[in-house]
Amino acid sequence: MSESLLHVDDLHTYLGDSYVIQGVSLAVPSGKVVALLGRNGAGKTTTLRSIMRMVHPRRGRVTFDGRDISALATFEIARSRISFVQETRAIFPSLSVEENIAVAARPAENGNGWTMQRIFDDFPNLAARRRNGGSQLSGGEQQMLAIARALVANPRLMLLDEPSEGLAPLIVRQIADIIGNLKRAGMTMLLVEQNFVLATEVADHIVVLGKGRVRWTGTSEELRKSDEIRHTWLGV
Amino acid sequence: MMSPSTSVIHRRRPRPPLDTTIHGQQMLSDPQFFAEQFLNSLQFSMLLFLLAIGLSVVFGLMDYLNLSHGTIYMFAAYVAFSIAQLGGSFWVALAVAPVVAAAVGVSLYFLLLKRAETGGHLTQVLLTVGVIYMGTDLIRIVYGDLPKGVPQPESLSSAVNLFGILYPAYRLFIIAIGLLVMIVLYFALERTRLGALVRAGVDDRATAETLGIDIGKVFALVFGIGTYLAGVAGVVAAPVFGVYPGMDVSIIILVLIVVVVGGLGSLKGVIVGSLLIGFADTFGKILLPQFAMMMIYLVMALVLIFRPSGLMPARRFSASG
Repeated sequence: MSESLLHVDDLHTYLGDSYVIQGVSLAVPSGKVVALLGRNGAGKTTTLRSIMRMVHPRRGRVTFDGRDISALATFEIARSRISFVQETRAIFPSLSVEENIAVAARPAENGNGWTMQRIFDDFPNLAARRRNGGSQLSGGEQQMLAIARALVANPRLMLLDEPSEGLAPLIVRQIADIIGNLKRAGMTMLLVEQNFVLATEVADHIVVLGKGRVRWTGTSEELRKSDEIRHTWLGV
Repeated sequence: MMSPSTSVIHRRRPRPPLDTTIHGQQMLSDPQFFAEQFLNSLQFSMLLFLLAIGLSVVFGLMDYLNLSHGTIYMFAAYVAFSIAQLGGSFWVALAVAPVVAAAVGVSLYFLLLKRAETGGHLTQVLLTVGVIYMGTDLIRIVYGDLPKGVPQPESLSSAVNLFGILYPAYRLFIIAIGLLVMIVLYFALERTRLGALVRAGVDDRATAETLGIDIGKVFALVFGIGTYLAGVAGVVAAPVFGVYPGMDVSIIILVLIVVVVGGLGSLKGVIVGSLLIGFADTFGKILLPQFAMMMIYLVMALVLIFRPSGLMPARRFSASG
């Protein structure tokens, strides 16, 4: 396994009184895609939100590129080049498509990364709606915009929370293609996904969460073969 | 000719001469009187606007209910009074007092108010009401209880002939300042990067932070601008209403109503709310003097029955899907 870009070490997170994350550890190697699977309420989203420190873990350490980021503020974690595409997409309704991208833009260190122009070249349907308000987009367009907004920050790691959720099959295909293309371009990703087929197709490595703990890790191939794991922890 | 405003201010000033000679019911048949009251309403709306915009955006961005916003208004008015006492002109006061007010406001926030950021609205109300009491007492200790006058600038002390109506130039100046600030804020919010960051923060603060936006820094800037404008309101109001301890409390209630009626966190909401309350207050006192204050609450109640989140609230992201 190559050097890991992200290390999550023994994370414990409470939401109010409920003990949601009970000691999760995982690693995302540079240039690889890791999928975090599990049933509803297994703690997938909370794991991502803990990494971003949108919720504050009681215990545990998160290191990114060898640097401890567990005490940083959310905006500092984002600036260390981790982009988070939330499950809700969270498009700003008061901002136009263009402004939604502009507020997130962060030029690449080497100078030839994602720019607004390149986003509009690669996402023509967003270009066509660049002056539209964020509240006027369809679900699929919102998801494209959420991904575009994450890319324009030129991240070294992307956290994607259920990018295919609630979308029509044709749009899910498009999202899967985008994720596949990003993977081929070398993007490191931690993907939470309910769509088993999409997740196993794109992921190099799978982490199965159940009731706040890591229950299984392995490759997509191994997971497809293991009926027991799939039935017990995924229900598929 | 003074614009009717809140009850406290109202009691301290002589009734405008026209109010006693012409009954409200006759008002509509007298175009001159109507025009004057229209301008008075507009002028009072602009003062409400200057105060309400800071309160509304701070609430929209940080969910912080800062009732001591009015204290900054009072503080700036007293700074203007002191500058006048020392022989400084109105223009010096207008240049200096709002800056001092913003510096005091921002310091107050970071030294004290910030502690209640995560405490919820009740804690914030308790803390900032405490600041109001302390501010009023400090003013009493330094300046005494009696109302004081601040002279109008010499150059604006005449009346202007406006389509046949003689109207005080100084009051037109207040209207002009309000309109100018509206236009500048509109362009700053809608056309600049900082404006987009503010709108993003008001829409969804947590998401803005996941995109690397330092909302704390954006907020400090917005808070500074908001208190600066409260300071401007204090300076321009001083020659019209005079300065006195408690002038903050009498206006902050109307300002809160403006924010609630207009809808939280949006510039358009504050503009609409200021106009509605400014006009309702002024005309309410003429048409139905015995129900003057009730008029305002009636407007608020009607708005809240039909539009519970105000007339034009900031669009909020709904966390569905």
